[in-house]
Amino acid sequence: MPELTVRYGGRNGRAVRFALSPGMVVVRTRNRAPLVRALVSARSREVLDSFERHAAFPEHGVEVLRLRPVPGAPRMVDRDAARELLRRDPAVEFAGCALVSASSLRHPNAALAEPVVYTENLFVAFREGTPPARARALLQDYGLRVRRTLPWAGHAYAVSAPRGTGVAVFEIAGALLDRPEVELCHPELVRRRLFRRAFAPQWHLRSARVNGVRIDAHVDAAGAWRAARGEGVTIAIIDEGIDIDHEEFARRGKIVAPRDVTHGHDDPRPGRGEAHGTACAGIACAEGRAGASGVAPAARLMPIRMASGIGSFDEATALVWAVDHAADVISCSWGPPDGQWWNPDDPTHGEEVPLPDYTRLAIEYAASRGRKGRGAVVCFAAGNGNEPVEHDGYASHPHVVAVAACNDRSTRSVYSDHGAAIWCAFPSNDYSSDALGHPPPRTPGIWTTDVTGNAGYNPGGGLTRGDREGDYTSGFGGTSSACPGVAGVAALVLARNPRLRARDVREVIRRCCDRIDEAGGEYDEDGHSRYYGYGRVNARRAVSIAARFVLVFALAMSGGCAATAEYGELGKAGAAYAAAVEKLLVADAELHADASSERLLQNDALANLTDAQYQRATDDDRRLIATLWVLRRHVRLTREYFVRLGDVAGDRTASKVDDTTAALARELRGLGERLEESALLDADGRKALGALAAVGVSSALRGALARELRAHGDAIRRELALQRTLLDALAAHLGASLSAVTQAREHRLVRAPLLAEKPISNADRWVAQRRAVLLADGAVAELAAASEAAAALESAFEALMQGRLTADRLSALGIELQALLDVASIALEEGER
Amino acid sequence: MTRRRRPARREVAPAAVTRRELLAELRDLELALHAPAVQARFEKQPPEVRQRFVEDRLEISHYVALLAHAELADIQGQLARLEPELRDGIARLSSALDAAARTAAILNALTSLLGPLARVLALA
Repeated sequence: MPELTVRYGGRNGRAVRFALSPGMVVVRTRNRAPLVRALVSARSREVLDSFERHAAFPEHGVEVLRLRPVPGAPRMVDRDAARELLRRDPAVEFAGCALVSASSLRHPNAALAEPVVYTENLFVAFREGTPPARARALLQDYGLRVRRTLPWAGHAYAVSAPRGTGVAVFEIAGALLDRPEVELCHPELVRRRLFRRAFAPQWHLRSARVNGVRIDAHVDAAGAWRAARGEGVTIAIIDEGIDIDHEEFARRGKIVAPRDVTHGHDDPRPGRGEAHGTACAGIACAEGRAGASGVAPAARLMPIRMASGIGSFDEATALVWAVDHAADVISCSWGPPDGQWWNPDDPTHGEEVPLPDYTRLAIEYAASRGRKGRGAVVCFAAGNGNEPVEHDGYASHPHVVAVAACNDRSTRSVYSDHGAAIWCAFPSNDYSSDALGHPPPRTPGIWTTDVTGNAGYNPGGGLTRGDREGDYTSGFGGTSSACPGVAGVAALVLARNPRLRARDVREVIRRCCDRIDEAGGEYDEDGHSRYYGYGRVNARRAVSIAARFVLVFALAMSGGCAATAEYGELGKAGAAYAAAVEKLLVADAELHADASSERLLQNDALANLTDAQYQRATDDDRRLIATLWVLRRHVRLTREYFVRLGDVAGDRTASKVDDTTAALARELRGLGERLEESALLDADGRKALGALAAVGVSSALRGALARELRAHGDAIRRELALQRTLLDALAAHLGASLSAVTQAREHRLVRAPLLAEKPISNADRWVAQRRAVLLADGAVAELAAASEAAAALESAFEALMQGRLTADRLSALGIELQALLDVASIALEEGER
Repeated sequence: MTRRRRPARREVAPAAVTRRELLAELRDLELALHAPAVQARFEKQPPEVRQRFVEDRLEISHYVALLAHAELADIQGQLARLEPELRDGIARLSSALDAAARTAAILNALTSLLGPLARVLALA
């Protein structure tokens, strides 16, 4: 059987091979009605009885029929006989072949292979500089009609081949790719779009009791809402239709730029049977007024209805619509068909579905042009096939945040796709599986908005599937549910700090995650798990990191001479690090003194202390605090070193010398004219003299930096290694002091007054003291991560020494340093309570 | 007899790891001994029992302080050995800055000298 080849990424790009499916037929009726309602002949009906309806692509007016599996029985018809008969039927306009991936035909379960439909449309992108007239003439040579231009993809067009071209569109695409003017070209191939839904109270947002069981597997959205609720941020949900009349989306200004890209109008309301989009939108940004809250309840919603199959031009149109209408975050809870998660023999597991070039360019357009150049955050559901996410070109695109699902036990949902491309996880539903040794879930799923009345997942009338009215569902799930959850977290992050670039938001999400399921998560050295990415997102921590992202911003904005910029950035980072450690040392000394005093008070309450006992304890404290002070002096020296490194790297002397030399040249020229030697210093000469002097000074400074690091690089390495040890020790000491202070104050200021017979005189003060005690537990937990900053600085220094210091590494270093500064601030605040 | 200088350590010695583990255990014990429930229980004990308990608790705290100080002092000692190199680095970087500034200063001086010279030549 001949194979058909498609190339994504141009002539030398990736080749994907297809074959004609032996068991499937694609049919289009003349009146575009479904075959069951079409007035086909009795003979055709007889043939059709041998098939079952496998998929429908209403936007293209076609259905895919698959031969019914009848074990042992002889087939009455085969594919080609059926096509021939149907073609002769006056009610049928077209009866063609479906495609399947070539590799799936070699699979033992080939009958389960997913169909791929070609549409006789093509994507063509010309090389820069090709005259439009030449491009259009070339398209005409192949009989192609321009349907629309695609300016976001460069010099590109969506074109149609004449009706009846059939599989010859593959030959046309191949021939066009061979033309020197053409950069990208491939046919539009469509698959079933599988929504990432797999088969209460909102336990995913905060700790909650469901069916009498306490569920503590949430993202702490409620904790984040104290700082941000998504104000001023727009989340685009590209999905089935969305019920924009639902009470949770009814606030004035909530809905922005609604669109139906499949039909080209502005009404995104759901068609019959479309409940998925409304559920997704609710998870991201339901207002929380009546029955359900989104992760970012104050965010605006851009509902974009896309009822087309996967691979359609419409998916690029939808992404570009979102970007051009100022969406900040884009959530896509769909992707290529998944294999059955419980069936390892399903051939779909092994099928790779690459991104069409137009969709790839649209995602890159979102990343580079969205939010006025800062980039829109694009989230995709990882998939529900319990299979490698790398096979899914959508979720595994490097600009995409690929979201996996975890469950109400803080372990993976059995269906969730896995792999290196997973960025993070968000709570969702789950299923039990004896075969896979997977326990049953404790909740029905995620509670979210449903299409109003009986049109959605919950028909209403009872409480088993949601509320009585049918406006909310309790059982939403899949990575479909997880994806808009992370989109909501991204919206909270941007509400807190709108200056962040899309890549910064990805970093914030990475940094905020809770590592769940340590035993089964298979986390690697970088803290990445193939099942959870960097872990389950923690919205409260994400907002906290976003608020303090100034340092990273400063690093990104740092200017200076390009040749010395990396030294300057390391200098800044080192100085910021040393400042934070100094702060920690001060906090440690203060908390140590407090802890020791509290213990003396506790001891004195039991037995009057002697002078000798007091003196020994005080001597111990003085000695330890004196050492902390010596360390503080050393850290100041470290800080001075890095400041000086930054000073040399960022020195403006070179540009000043340039100005001075220009003035000198002017004077020389004046002098030269007098001496009739002006030709020696004409305009070009003046310029060259100035530039040479500046380069000379700049090279001298760079040389000095390089010599310095050659001379003392080893000492700095040792310094940074020791700093890591110091931070570990400080974190342990601070943690112990903080626990001691908290424990003693709880007893002295909270517990004892409450248990005393006398009523508490100042209730507000007592409440505040108790709150301080309870919140201190969180501060102790944060301390554990302090030494990561030292490790990041060490690694950035090594990269600089080897000439591999990249913007990504600096960005990661900035986040670690910010976390260290956070810890230092928290510790100081605790010390001052 | 000449004493051989010990090579500089580049990482925390195994003994320190053991000390750290011991310190962590003692800190946990210290915290447990100061727990509100323990404190409340001993408040009801006779004076001699309380006295003995306080002495023991103070002893534990003393050992914790000794170990914590030893850990920090060890790190501090190793860091202190690097200080001459840090100071030398600061001096080198400062002189690089000074050299650049001197270049600019020389050029400035030359410029200001040439102005009057040109005017003198113009008068000649």
